[in-house]
Parts: sequence; C-alpha cells; structure tokens
Amino acid sequence: MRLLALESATGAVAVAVASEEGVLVELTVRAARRHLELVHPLVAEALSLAGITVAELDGVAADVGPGLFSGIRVGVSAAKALAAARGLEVAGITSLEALAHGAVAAGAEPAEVVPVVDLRRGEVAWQVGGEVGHGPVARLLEELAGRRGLLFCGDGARRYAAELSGRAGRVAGEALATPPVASLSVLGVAALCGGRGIDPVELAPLYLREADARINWTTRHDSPARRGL
Amino acid sequence: MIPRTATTTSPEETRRLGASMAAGLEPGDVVLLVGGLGAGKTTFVQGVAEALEVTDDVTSPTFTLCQIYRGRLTLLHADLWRLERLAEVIDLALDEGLEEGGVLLVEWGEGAEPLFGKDCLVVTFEPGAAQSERRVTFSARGERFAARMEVA
Repeated sequence: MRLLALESATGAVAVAVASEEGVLVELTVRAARRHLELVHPLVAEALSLAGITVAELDGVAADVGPGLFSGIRVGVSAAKALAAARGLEVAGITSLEALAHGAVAAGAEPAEVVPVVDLRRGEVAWQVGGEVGHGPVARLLEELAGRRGLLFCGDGARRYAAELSGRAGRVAGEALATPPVASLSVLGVAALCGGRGIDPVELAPLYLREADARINWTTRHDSPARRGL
Repeated sequence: MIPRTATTTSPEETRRLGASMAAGLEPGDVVLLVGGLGAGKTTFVQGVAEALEVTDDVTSPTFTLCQIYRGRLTLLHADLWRLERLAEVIDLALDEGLEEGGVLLVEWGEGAEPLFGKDCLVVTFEPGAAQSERRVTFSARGERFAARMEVA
C-alpha cells in the first residue's frame, strides 16, 4: 500500500507518501496560503523523492477540514482528481483527527488532547472525547468546564491562546499549529487498510458552516433559475 | 472623502465615481454594491480597478462568482446574483481572500449583508430621471468607513 496524503486545510500546504511501514516522505510549506500554487509541485516532488510514480500509488488521503474553505477545496479537488484518474480509493481525514494524532505521536496522553481549528468570524472547531463541535471559544471552555491539564493544538488554539492557556491547560507549539501531514498519511493508510476507503466522488469538504438560510434579496426580483441561468 | 450621495449622467461618470472612491480604500475594506440589472455596479467596479492600477479587463463575475485582480491592492470582485442561499455565499470564502490584504467589492451585495453588513460601505445605485442618470448613495456601516465619509 503506497498512499499519497494531501494537507491544505489550514495555512500550510503539505504532501506525504506513506505505506504500512510508515512515512516515506513528508514535505511541508508553512508560508501562508500558497495552496493552489504549491500542491501539485509538492506532489511531484514527494513522489520523485519516494522513487515512485503516480501509477504506483494505491490510495490517496486528503484533509477534508474543518479549516480554510479555499485551502480545503484545493486539497480535496486534487485528491479527487488524482484518485479518479488512477481508479483509486480515497480516505477523508479531518484536520481535527490529524492534529490529535500528531499530538499523541509527539507524546501527549490521548485523553488530554483537544484539537482546535480556526474557523474565522470568531469561531473555532474542536474535538473533545470523539465529538466534533464548533462555535465561539467560550463555548469550548464551557464544554470543558472543570477539566485540567489539557493540551490544545491547532491554529485555533494558537489564535485563542490567551483564553485557552491557564487553568484548563496549555497550548502546543508551532509544530502542532497545522495538522501534521505525517499523521494524515498514517491515518489514511489505516483507513484504506481497514476498508474505510471511499470512491473519490464521495469525498466532500467538512466546512462546519452555520445553519443555512435563504438570501434576503431586496433588489433581485427575478430568479436566475427561472431565466435558465 | 467619500460623498454621501452623487448623481452620474453617463457610464463614464459612474466609472470616475468608482475611481474616486477607490483612492481612499484600505486593505480589508468591504464594499457592498446594491442595485438592479444595468444599474452601473460593474461600471463602478471598473473605475475602482483602474484606480487600483489593475491592468486586466474587469468584467461582471456573474458566472465565475468571484474574480481576483492584482493591482496596487488586490481586488476581489464578487457577484452573488446567481446564489439563493447564505451557505453558498459563505462557501466563496470571501473573508479568507480579505485576510491577505485585498479589498472586496460585492455586486448584489445585500446577499453578503449577514457576513459583512456590520462593518462595510454600502453603495446603492438607483435610476434617475433621465435614462442614463443614476443616483448613487454611499452609506457607512460601523466604524471602519465612518471617518472617511464627507460630513452631511
């Protein structure tokens, strides 16, 4: 099993090649927001460093979010395209899962790890006890009421470090600011080997945006759908 | 300074009005453009683009939803006409583009009011008495634009 993993759900863009034996290559660019520009050059470089071609891949994993919408779309579309072209299965891994895995791989106790991803507009997404939640950081603190000794990781944890560090726990360093692509690839291999791969058509971003509402148009009196547009 | 109201009598004047407003734009600014079909929104944005030293041709992004132009400031030009739901507007991730220091102009801008309405400039285009006449109203929402408005 040779797997290509694409990580672009937060500011960084990263690619890894992994197998059941572990991670063969991992490349990470932390320069903010160069997803679209860098994802394909990084894929070519990672495959070349691993000494394989696209034709030798057995699966693809992508970070489906939550995180930056523009970044998630780049990784998810690239994964879909590569997998569809080669007839491969894909694994959709969340940014929260990859962060938590990275923290545990770095030595943290699984029960203490709380991944927190920045959703903008004053909201974050988190995962506590296997449950994904999102909202203002104050709501996360309410949910954690009374807990101590936690390790918060992710770009959301760093943005709200002042609120999160203190009695409840501490905020992880730069290495866990973005989901580690090595973790994404290891989780991807486990998912595909465990029969949890899906058809690339079904791979979908996890946006976690607020509840849907119709646009309250004041100037647009006609529906484009009615005009066949 | 940004005027409270203006009347233009030709597309060229609407363009110049856009250019004069653009002179005062700062990174992170959001301008919602409100007005019916043919009201002058795209023409106004073309004037903004000129003033921002964008060299590409600016056309209505009705079908592409959002176009990004490089100039003195990055210009994000969105058009929400085809959209029905707020979720579709959120999916465009216009706020993510803004974080990189651009300015955002949104045609059919009332569709983005729930996202940006608290701190933006709303420019409303209404037909005037003559066919080519447009009455343009500038309204500051929140603190961001308040200090840049002409005294009423």
